[in-house]
Amino acid sequence: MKNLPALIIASFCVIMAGGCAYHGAVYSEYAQFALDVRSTAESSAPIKVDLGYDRGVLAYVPKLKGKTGEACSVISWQNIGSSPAPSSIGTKSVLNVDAGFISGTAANVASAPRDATVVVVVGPDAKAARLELKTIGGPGERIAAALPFAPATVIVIAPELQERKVALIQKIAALDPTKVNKILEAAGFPAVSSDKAKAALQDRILEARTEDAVKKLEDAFKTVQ
Amino acid sequence: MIKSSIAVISLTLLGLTGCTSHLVFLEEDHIGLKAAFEANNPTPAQLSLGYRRGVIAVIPQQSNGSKTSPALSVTTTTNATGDKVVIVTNDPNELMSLYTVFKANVGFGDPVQIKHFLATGNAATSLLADTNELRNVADSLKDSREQKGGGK
Repeated sequence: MKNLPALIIASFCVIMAGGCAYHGAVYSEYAQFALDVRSTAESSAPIKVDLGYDRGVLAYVPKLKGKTGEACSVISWQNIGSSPAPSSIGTKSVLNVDAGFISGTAANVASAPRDATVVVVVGPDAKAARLELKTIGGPGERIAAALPFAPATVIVIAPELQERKVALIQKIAALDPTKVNKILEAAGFPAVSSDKAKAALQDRILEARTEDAVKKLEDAFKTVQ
Repeated sequence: MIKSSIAVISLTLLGLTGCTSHLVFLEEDHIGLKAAFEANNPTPAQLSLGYRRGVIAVIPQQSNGSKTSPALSVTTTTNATGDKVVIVTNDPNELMSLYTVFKANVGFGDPVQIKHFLATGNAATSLLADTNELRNVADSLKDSREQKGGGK
């Protein structure tokens, strides 16, 4: 997408020239972060240098036919975060991107309120079946739940907390898979198959990064002793 | 350049035929260092360091635009037991459903994480109603990463 801005304009012109024969939306987005240098064969000097953040969006969204005059539903977001400071380069993500797009009925359902029964009623000419859904969690919570990341790439843990985690991991070797699954359940995690139980518990201990999380695991270990 | 040409041709064909039967989603992501050269020129024509993302989505309406929309396509009521009921009338002029997410987390301490997810139609609609199902998608992607030898 080297020529994306030109492509966006060309697309828009094509749709307009088509006399709006196309019934729908066109969404185009371009984002660039950090360094971008362009040159041509005719010139040895750069013709374009970008350092920082560059973004362009085009949304061509038709309106619904009817008395509401409302636009069709589209949700779009892009969050970009960076911690280029040398002091935090080992503990925070250098680049963190979260971008998404939702359209149509899915966007209507995504914005439905928390814990509501959502009934998608088909129109008089539609042949699709009635779709009844129950929302769990608020709209923001639901959208944010998909594909979460660890909050940072490296977390500094207090030496005392780390020692307690190491002590828990050392106890795993002496346990049988049944007891390991009991610990997982006592700590609020789902049980897994016997062959994966010890590895799963070790993962949970490694993921525990707060006093509360480690304490919860320690209490869970006490239930099998 | 080839990708751009394909995109232009696809969009031109769509525009000329007034095609409303297909949803087209085109995305290109780049993270890291990219140097593009042209023939017989040792100097890179393009040098990119960091993050670049381009998206083109052509999303038709569910009908051909000839039908009238209902007065209100989303209404909220309360049923006899006091629960909220949201009635989404399937508007024939509403867009086809598309749900797509791109996430990247790049650091020096842990492996680079790049995730992309796309759902369309009723799959997208149903998925977006339930936080737990969205978390299940996230967990399944995490598991597949671990099975392929990805580190934590």
